[in-house]
Amino acid sequence: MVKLLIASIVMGTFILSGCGAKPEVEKDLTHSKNSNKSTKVVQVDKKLNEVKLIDEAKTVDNTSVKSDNLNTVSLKDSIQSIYFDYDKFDLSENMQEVALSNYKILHNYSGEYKVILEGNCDEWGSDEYNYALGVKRADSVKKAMVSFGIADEKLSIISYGESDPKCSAHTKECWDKNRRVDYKIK
Amino acid sequence: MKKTFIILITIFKMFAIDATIEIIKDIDHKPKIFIKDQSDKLYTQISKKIYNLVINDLKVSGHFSVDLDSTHNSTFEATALSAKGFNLFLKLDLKDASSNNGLNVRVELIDLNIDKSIYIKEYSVSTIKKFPFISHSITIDINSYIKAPSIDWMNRFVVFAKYVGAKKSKIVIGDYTLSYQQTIIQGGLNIFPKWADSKQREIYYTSLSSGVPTLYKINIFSGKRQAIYHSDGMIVCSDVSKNGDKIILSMAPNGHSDIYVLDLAINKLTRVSRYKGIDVNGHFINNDKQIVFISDRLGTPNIFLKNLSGGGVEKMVDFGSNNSSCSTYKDYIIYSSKERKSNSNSRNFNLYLISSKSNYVRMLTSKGINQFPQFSDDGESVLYIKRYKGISSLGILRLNFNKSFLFPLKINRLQSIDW
Repeated sequence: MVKLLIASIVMGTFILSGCGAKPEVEKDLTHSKNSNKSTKVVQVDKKLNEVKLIDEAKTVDNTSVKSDNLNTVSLKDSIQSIYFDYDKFDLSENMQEVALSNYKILHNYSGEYKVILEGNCDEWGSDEYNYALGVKRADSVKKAMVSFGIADEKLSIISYGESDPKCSAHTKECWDKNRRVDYKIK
Repeated sequence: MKKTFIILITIFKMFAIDATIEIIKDIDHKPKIFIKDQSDKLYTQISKKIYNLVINDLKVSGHFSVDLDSTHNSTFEATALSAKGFNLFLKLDLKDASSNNGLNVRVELIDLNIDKSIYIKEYSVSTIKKFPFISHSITIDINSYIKAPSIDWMNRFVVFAKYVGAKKSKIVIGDYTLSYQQTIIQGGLNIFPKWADSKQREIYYTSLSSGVPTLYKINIFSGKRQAIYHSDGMIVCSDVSKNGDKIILSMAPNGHSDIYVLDLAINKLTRVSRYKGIDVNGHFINNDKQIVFISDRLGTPNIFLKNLSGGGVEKMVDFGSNNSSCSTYKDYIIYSSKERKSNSNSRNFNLYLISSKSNYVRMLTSKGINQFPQFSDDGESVLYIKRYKGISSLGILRLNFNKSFLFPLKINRLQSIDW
């Protein structure tokens, strides 16, 4: 009787549950010695077994983003990436010069081309913020290129956040290499 | 069982208590439970894993006093345990473990107070690696028996994206400890998965595989996929309203990210923020009438509040040098903040809980890099990722019990996570 009282107190401590329903139990089981009685079998991964695996590599048309066109190989080799300070998206004086150099290469190129400016970040910063920072970096480079004279419609931007690191060590030198905008020519 | 399987650490004992939120549920008399693994030695390796995870689930619940003398293959029996003051006795018996049949665990729960076998159940999974769901289900059932507040969140899936190479990622679902992981989307760069409904049948995610950032919704059971929106620069589904009819997007069609709300029922897109810097990570708050979001409009990333009906923005946090991610539940906001004392080579990010309706502030972590905070669907727990001394862990904060638990994390480059 005393034990029963203690049990009641224990249950009573969870009054916040506000649950008046009795737990799901098998009432015909009265003691552990009655192990021959039927037991309830619960398949706990039923939902999980129905989950599908999607392979996007089989569904995505990648032809629109290929950039290894033979005609643009020389352009790709000459154009340099633009690098940024920590948590910054404005171009430093040095990087303004690099952007100007890139502009001259593109300006003197006689063939057809389009440029995707890919913004990249180091591993710091939150998931969404990093992608947004990559957008701002790519947009800063785009504005610089347009101001130099590249037609706006030749340029598009995309952020790859921290997904495309050039260096994977957890060092300042490595992070410096990852805060950049790459020019992808197609 | 490896020592590293579960690192169980109580980090915090006491925090300031705000009159506006009930932080501590005073449970003085937790049922004292003893767990015995009586599986055949043939299955020792896997039965130990199940046994250890049950023990840790019970601890994480905060509703039980788990006996530290509980040992694998203990010889204790009910009578002796009752004399020692135990209230509950759980027997685990792994009946089958094979690549063909998966796992089958027989469980008996005995209430020692009334000397009665409460139930005998068998829990099964189709493959051995799904054993965590057996442990979580066992714990949920014991918790249900004592009529404690629900811990059904233990059986909810976590969805996350991880990088597997340059511009390559996988979207994976797992149990709440990430002891079990199953890839659901592979190939290309697919990021920012977000549960689309409370039943966890569909997710939103961003695909960068085609070169144009595109938001998709996919049913993880049927594989049916629907393109929702696309944008130059970036597009992310940051939050889903309670009934799933609206989503918050971070999009950058104009070269900078702003916050948008998409009403899916009428396919109406509303631009909520207009700032030429960075606005991201919008979350519904206060019955979906307001949003909080991250903005660098004052120079560094910080948390701001805005009414969806219009008006200006309100800064929510006055400290921290980089408050760049957050999660919400009802009136509460949890966010990650870079501590000002940290220098560039030793960066500490801690988690804080604040109220949008008072000046309540509670520090939740004290060391290491603590990021990706996500409230559970009942708001009583927070999942986060911790990096400390080179070791990554998945953390579970039990807000009502002032305790945190760390589970070893075997993911090198986590992109984002949702619970």
